[in-house]
Amino acid sequence: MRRPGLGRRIPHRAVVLIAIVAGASIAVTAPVSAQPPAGTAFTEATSAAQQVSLITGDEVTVFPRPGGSTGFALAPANRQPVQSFQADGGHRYVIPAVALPYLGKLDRSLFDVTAPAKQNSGRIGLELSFPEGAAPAALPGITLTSRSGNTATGYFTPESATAFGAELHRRIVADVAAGRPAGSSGLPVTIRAAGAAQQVPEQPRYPMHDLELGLKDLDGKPVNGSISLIDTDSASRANLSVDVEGVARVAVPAGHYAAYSTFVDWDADGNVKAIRTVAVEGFAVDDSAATATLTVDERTATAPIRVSSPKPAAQQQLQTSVYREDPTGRGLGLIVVGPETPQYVSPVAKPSSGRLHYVVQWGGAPPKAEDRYRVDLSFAAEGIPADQSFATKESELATVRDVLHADPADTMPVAIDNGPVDPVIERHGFGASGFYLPAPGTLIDYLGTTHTSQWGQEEVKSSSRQLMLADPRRYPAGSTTTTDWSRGPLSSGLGQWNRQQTCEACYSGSTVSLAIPALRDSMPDHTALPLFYAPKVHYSLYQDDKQVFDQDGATGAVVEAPKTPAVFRGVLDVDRTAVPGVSQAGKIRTELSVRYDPAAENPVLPAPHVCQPADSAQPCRILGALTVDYRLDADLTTTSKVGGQALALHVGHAAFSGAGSRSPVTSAAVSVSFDDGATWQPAKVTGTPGDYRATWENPPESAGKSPSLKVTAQDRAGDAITQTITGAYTVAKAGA
Amino acid sequence: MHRIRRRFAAVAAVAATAVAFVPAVSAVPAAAEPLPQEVCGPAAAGFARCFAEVDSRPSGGFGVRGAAGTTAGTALPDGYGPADLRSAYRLPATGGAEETIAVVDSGDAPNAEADLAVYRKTYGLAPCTTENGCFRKVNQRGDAKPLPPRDGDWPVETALDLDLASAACPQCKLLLVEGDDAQFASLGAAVDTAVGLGATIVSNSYGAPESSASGDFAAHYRHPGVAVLASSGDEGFAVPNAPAAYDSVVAVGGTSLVKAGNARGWTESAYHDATSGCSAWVGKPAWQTDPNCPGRTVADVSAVADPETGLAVYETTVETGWTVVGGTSASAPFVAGVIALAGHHDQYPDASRLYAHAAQLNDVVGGDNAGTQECGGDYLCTAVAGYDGPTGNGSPAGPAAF
Repeated sequence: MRRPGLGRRIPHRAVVLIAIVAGASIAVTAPVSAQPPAGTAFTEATSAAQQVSLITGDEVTVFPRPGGSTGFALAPANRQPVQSFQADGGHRYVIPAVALPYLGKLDRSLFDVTAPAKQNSGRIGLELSFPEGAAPAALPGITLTSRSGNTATGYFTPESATAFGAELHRRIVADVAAGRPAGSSGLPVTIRAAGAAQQVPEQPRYPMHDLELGLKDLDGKPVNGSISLIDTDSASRANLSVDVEGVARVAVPAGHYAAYSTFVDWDADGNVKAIRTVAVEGFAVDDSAATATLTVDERTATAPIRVSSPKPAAQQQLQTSVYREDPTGRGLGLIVVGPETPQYVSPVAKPSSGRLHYVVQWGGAPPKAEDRYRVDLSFAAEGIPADQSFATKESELATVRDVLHADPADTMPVAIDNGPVDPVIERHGFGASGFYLPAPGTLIDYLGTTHTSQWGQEEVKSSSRQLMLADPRRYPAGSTTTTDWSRGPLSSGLGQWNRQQTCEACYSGSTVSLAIPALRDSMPDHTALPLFYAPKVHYSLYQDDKQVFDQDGATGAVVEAPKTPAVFRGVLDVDRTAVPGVSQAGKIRTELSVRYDPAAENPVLPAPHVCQPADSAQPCRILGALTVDYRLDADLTTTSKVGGQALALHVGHAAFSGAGSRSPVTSAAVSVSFDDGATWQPAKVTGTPGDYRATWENPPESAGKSPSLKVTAQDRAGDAITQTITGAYTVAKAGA
Repeated sequence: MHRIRRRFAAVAAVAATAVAFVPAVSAVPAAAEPLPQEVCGPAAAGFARCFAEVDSRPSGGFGVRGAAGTTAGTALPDGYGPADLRSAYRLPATGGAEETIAVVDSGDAPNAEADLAVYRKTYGLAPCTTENGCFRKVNQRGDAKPLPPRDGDWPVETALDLDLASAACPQCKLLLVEGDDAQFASLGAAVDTAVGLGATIVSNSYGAPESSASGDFAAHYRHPGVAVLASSGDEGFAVPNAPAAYDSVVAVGGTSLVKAGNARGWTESAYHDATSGCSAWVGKPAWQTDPNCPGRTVADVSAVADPETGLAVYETTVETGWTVVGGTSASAPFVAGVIALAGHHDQYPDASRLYAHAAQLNDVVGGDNAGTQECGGDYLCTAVAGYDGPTGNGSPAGPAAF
């Protein structure tokens, strides 16, 4: 249901996003891989890592990164500054500082750490050219194997290369001492990797050319707006969003470009009549000195988008997404979200180079609001088809029962955002959108599987704008799934995730990370993300009972790893009492103890997860951090009654795609306080290791109050958790 | 190191915004340190943003430090101070007494003079006050009153400007001209006022990506006989910022500066976030001959700007005293001070002098500012031997080139 005035919400902008929806809920979350950094050190990929020896003697560890980029790390002993970039074709270059002054004489092929020929080879072949008339001469660290005129072939080894690096360094020192720029004395030889294509060092790689950009509206008149511009040969050369005020001008390299713009048509009353998205493909900026001109014309957006729902539903949201990628998968995403407003697009053929992934997402509400269902459909194509009529069959629907729990003090509506997920969308940032409706209650969501059966869902509280994040899941056609949202008692803690997650309870090399996410609900993959009203938090970390970190505003810390086994104990205090709509779980204290042993081989963090304490040279291992899922026998407001009370409790370990400690849980205890923690009463706990049922009595005098819960658990390895939730649930007043 | 920090930012944007994962200060590795904080956020159309960036190191507290401090033997604050910079750039401790460096900022910095006094006393620089005629603060019309209201966190930018100009040229007079706001019309008027009041060098540590509107304000930055400088910006290889892109302005890029055991005592590489770019609005000046940009290429010259190798700054309106600050906001007022030391402010109708005297600069080689956009290892985004975008012709090696 649309609730006017709730406002639009755009927490992250990983992609260009235009939203013209009142009362809608939209979220786009950037994937970690959206900005693959150089020098990354995520050891989830260490199994595929390879060692590369450079001619300077530097050792580089190379490993694949999500999205196809190449990560690298320098050997700790050889950390001199390097220059690195990943060029077209996925090749990464790592150029140590000592070699930079000699580029040209030292061919870039020597620093291509992706080239298979360079991997793990004992002898790295070289081709050398000496000045005209000069006979090939010996060089430190390089063995010549053949000579012909002024050219030679030879090789270096990982061991011998240090001598060549030292020679470069010696020359630099001599230059500087003589007052010359480093490297100005030059090398008496040109060297490249054997078999590498010869480069002309002086050839400019990306000469820039002026490109003038303009927009024309339906009347053919110039109009202001913005243009998303991408070099489709290589998005790393140009990937811009350019504001156009009359005329815009940017300098870009020569190449082939795609451009996208969205136009909004207004009626005389200022209402949006239509939204039109224009795509331009195959525009070329050539090597000439003349300024290129590109005008994006709204009049080409002639194809109306029409969606047919298999269930009675009126369109409340229409979202079109264009993902344009170069051949390496880099690129941009342009998302346009509108309500009932008609949308038009300009058809373009599937491009011959790279990818144009087009997604239409449609959301509809039932004719009668009390029916509490909605329909979310998704369609995809490569290129933008001329026929923009889309339909989903009833048999292609999956049913999701979204059970919306709410704090008794939170009377504001809640939204469940939905977004289709496919590999292209994942690369550019998962997005989801939805509409608010009264909570608590249950929403039946019919998800279309025409395009993909994988959908992401998130819950949004309009009271606090809190997001409850969850892993995307597959919802096969014909299936029915039930998901609880914000089921209390809410708690702090880690969880079990399958989607890319940062491991904050991991260690790698010389560092250990231990953090406790501040808020979660009963679902193992749910983690809250407050957008406007953040709880107060305070975190302390102890190493063998000695405090090593203590700070307001923190939920975790990264510290130096001890050389001997130690117990780390993180203590997180969360205070939510000032957050709107909070009467339960106002304060949460979590003490999480984990055993760290540098000699132990804890489970390795698998891909695609990211290691917080990153040390590229070492594997990232997961600590045995315990987690607790609470399922209280209560209503949708976490309110129960006087009398018998039951709590299902699952105690597990932080896990990433199934990897995590498997140490058996050996004990769990639950106690209840009806006087805000002054006194505690133990609950009866039964069950099997890890899965327990706690029972106790809510006495008559607890009616109308919010008892507190304390849970302690530990595993065989000695990892432990103690969690105290103040005002964990509510006991209904008599007669309520 | 900086690239690793960027990774942390990317991670934080996904999962840790809520959990505010804050690492230990003393025990944490660089990989987990918080990002430097930008003093000014993105600017609206027609407005400029400042380019100062506050490092994550904790505040050094209030008051004079060092030998002049109230407590004998108090350590000097974190971040490079004047002596470090004189060493790194081979600058004399005296000179420039006849020069007036104007710094143009948005809004009032109410504690500017008092904060400057603490900075200068800490580092043994002679007082520069209104009373002794060294310091003057005016609004964009040149009047001492009324001063404009404070504009957000711009007082940090103002403190950085005054401190860095002082560090390079302790004997220079300082003129602080406070724009009514950060609109280009206001800041441009402030530049004109600075020149009208006798400034010989005007430093501008702000800007916004060039656009069709940039030309409207170019005249404010063209004052033959006066050296006008501007920070290149902190967005890496990108669309260049104005006023740095104007051909009448000395565009100052940024470096990372690290102490070393070499002959110079320092190593210097491109600051990864320093902006370089190819202008599509300003034509190629005759004095600029780089091959791959048909228009004006930014930058011309550079100096330390990396917050991780940042400068000690004293500021009390926004910050709690001693703070480490960087950004190309630091390099512009510093180079302004170097120009003052050299005494040739009248030779800057444009940046051509720095091209004619490039051999007398430190050629910064190493590092790049490629980010979302790269240049294929080209000089436009890579610090190579000779001219390059991120560092221009290099950094100061004494005043001779200036």
